[in-house]
Order: sequence, then C-alpha cells, then structure tokens
Amino acid sequence: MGMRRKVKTGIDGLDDMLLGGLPEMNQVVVAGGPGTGKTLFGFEFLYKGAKLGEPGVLIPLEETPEMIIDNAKSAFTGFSDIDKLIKDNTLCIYDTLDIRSYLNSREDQKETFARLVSEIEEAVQENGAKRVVFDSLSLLKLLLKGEQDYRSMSMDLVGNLRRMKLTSVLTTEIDVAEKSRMYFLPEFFFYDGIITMYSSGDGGANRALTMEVIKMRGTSHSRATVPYEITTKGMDILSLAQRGKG
Amino acid sequence: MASKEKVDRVSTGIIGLDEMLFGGVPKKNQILIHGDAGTGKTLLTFEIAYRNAKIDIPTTYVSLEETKDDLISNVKSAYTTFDDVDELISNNILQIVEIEALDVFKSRENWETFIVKINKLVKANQSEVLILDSLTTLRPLAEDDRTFTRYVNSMIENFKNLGITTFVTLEYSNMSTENSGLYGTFMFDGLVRLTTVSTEGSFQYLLTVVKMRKSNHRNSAAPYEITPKGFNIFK
Ligand SMILES: Nc1ncnc2c1ncn2[C@@H]1O[C@H](COP(=O)(O)OP(=O)(O)O)[C@@H](O)[C@H]1O
Ligand SMILES: Nc1ncnc2c1ncn2[C@@H]1O[C@H](COP(=O)(O)OP(=O)(O)O)[C@@H](O)[C@H]1O
Ligand SMILES: [Mg+2]
Ligand SMILES: [Mg+2]
Repeated sequence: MGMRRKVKTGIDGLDDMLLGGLPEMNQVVVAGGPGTGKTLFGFEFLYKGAKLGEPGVLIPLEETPEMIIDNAKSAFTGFSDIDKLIKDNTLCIYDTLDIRSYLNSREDQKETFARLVSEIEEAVQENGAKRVVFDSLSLLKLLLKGEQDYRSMSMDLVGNLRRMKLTSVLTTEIDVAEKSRMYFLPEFFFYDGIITMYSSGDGGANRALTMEVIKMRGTSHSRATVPYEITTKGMDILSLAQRGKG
Repeated sequence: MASKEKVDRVSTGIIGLDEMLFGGVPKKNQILIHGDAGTGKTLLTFEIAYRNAKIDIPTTYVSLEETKDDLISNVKSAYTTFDDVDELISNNILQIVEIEALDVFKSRENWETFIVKINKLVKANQSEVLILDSLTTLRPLAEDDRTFTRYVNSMIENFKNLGITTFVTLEYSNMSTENSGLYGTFMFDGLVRLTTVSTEGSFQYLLTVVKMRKSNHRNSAAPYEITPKGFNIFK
C-alpha cells in the first residue's frame, strides 16, 4: 500500500503529528476561533514551502496583501527572508482587490466566484505553485444567498484546487459553539483533512491555544489536542516535556 | 538589515488596556468590542475617544443608539472627573454625532449615503480614531444575517481604505456570534470581549483581548471596574 507523499507544513510538532506532513494534494480545512492564528498558519505553510523551493500562493479575501505581510512580519520576526521570497515570486500573496470590491458591490455572485477561480488558476500558473492557502471560506459564505449554494460553491472550489494538483489549506472561522456541530456539517465530508485551532478556557484567567487534527485522509495521525503558541520563529506546538512544565 | 518590524500604535488611553496590548492598538486596525448589554461598551469606547482627543488626536464618535445629548449626559454622570468634555467638543477635536439610521438598508444609495456621511465627518476634523456605537442598532433593519454581514464587511473595508483606526461595538454574549446577526468576525483586525462572571454571589467584569492583528497581546482575561476616573483594569 505505502503512504502517500507528504508535504511538510514546516510546523515541527504538526509534521510529527501527521507523520511527516500533509499528504500531497490533500484539501485541508483549518477551522477555528478568531485570532487563533489561522492566517499565520497558512502563511507559515507557504513560507516554509518556499524555503524548500516549493512555490505557493496565498489568496487573501479578508485582508489586503500588505496587511497579511505586515502581520506575518510582526509575528514572525525570525522569518528573515520574506521579502526575498516574495520578490522572486516563490511566495505569492495574491492581490484580490477586484474580487473584494465585487464582493461588496454586486449581487451577481456566481460570476464573482468564476472570476475568483480563474484568478487563482492564473496565479498558480505564474509561479508553478504546489501549495495554496485560501483565506477564508468564511468570506465565500457571503457571496451566495443560500447555504446550499455555499456548499456547492465550496465543493466547486475544492474540485478546482484538486484539478490543479495543489496541496491546499482553506481557513474558516468557526466559533466554539459550532465546534461540536462541525462534525455533522455536510461540507466537512468533502475535505480531505480538518485541523482545528481553538482558544480554550475562554473567559477564565488562562486562555490557551490548542490544535487538533480531526481527520486526514492518506495518513494516520495523532489524535491528541495539543497546546501551541505563536512565536517569532513560527507556530510552536508544545511538546509533552514543555507541557509538563506548567 | 533584518530589523524588527516596528508597528505604529494608537493608545487606548487606558493604561491597563494598553499594557494588555503591548502598547496600544496597531494603527488602522478595525476593532470590534463586544459583550452583553451593560458591560460598558459605550463607556469604554467613549473613554478611548476622550483620552485620544485629550492628547490632541482628532476623534469622531458616531452614536447610532443614543442621541448626542443623552450620550454626553450619560458619560458625564459615569465619568464625573472628565471635566473638559465640553471644551474638547467645542474645539471639534472630539466630534460627537448621532446618526439616524432607520433607512440605511432601504437601498444601496441609502447605505452609500450613510458611509459617505461618516467619511466626511472623519475628514472634517481629520480624525485618526473613529468610534461607531453600536452595530446592534442596525441589525434589525437588515433583511437577514447574511445581508447584515455583507454590509458590515463593506463598511469595514471602507474604513480600512480610509486608513482610520476604528472601534465598533456589538452586543452579544459568550463566545458565539450566533445571535449577534454576524456570520463571523473575520472582517475585524481586533476583537475585545467584555463579559461578566458571578461567583458566590459576587459579580465581576472581565475584559479579554481575543484577537489583535499585527500585535502580541495578553491572552488572559483581566477584571475591570468602571470608576468616575474611567476604566480601571486590574492585572
Ligand atoms: N507580533 C506578534 N506577536 C505575537 N502574536 C502575534 C503577533 N502578531 C499577531 N499575533 C497573534 O496572531 C493573531 C492573529 O493571527 P491570525 O493568523 O491573523 O488569526 P486568525 O486568522 O485566526 O484570525 C493575533 O490575534 C495575535 O494573537
Ligand atoms: N454613573 C455611573 N457610575 C458607575 N457606573 C456606571 C454609571 N453609569 C453606568 N455605569 C455602569 O456602566 C454600565 C453601562 O455601561 P454602557 O457603556 O452603557 O454599557 P453597554 O454599552 O455595554 O450596554 C452599567 O451597567 C453600569 O454598571
Ligand atoms: Mg485570518
Ligand atoms: Mg451601549
């Protein structure tokens, strides 16, 4: 049988949990609460890929490329060559300005979606991307009127990413109340993997960020809920030893 | 060479809150302050406006909920030590306006007029800080949650383009946006949550910085009280 080829996320502890990384060409949802670092996760995935010589594209629908880059630079001060990787287009933060203004002004949203897909394809062809980050599905939800349409549109998007042979991370904001319901949402069946990021102990004195791999087609994986931190050198999944310290 | 990225910040003027934010809010961030009714969203945002105006940073406070006069008399009764509110208002460094929003969602034009009105106010006194209190007033006027969320999204996008640091308030409890009318809070750069907990009969306000793009921040919740001198945030 053999395991599928793996794409390293570059996030140490997570690659360990995934026995090497994300199975190539998996379409993976990163779902979690606001401010848990979903966008930074996506950025690190592409940055680390670019360092390995694998081009990637980030499609930011919530923020401008400048904001994505500023945010990444301020959080990951240890990533010294961001500008260089962007300059040689190994790391592409795609400018979705047109799409974002359409999103805010048009009712004819199917057309906007078609444009979005063709723009992704263009960006991917331009730098030969192997990895893509779509940030976020939450915004896609605003495009179409019914839940039904949102579902078929996200399936369509995933189908297109598969066709382009990409290993993808698609972020989505889901609040704590939705976490338990998540397993039953139909859209989660057509993704190959689901990783959640939550802040636990909310309202209390000790808010802690935790990550969990809920499912990952093509590999076995750890089922542990692991604490993590956003450090200057990237996301840091705390090891058992570090957890023992507290 | 690889120098540390310096982030320009706007002080909230509230010492404990600035500390939680490692110096203040990154400039041009769009921030949502949310919590139950009565947790102090209006008073907190007013204090942010007041403190900034006091150090000569032009500020606009848009009230969608209360009339200008009611707002001013309410904050004065809570903050009895803020004795220069009128002076700051008359210098137009603190610009307070009430906007009647009943018809904002009636048509695309109405919505644009509303946004343009705010943009003009911001330009009128060259505001660097904008407050909008509250989005909750607008939700019942929209057709459904999706429409509301799209309008909020386009409004926030507009403020981003204006380059202003914005604080908007929204009423919802706990950690779920479920009953807030918003699909999610993804359009905001920052999220500050005000909650209350009651333990053994005593009652406590708590403030949490849930998210702040471009900034490190404390992760734990801090107790606070509302005093005549303003917000007092405990470590
Ligand atoms: N300079 C920084 N140092 C530490 N943490 C930071 C820094 N900048 C941002 N962060 C953290 O990252 C979070 C934002 O990450 P982001 O990936 O944008 O979240 P999400 O996409 O899940 O909403 C902030 O809420 C903050 O906690
Ligand atoms: N004069 C006052 N002195 C002290 N606290 C006050 C005063 N007026 C209001 N408050 C407190 O502030 C709270 C209301 O604050 P407000 O900003 O209007 O809340 P919100 O906008 O979140 O509904 C009240 O619940 C009360 O506890
Ligand atoms: Mg994000
Ligand atoms: Mg209020």
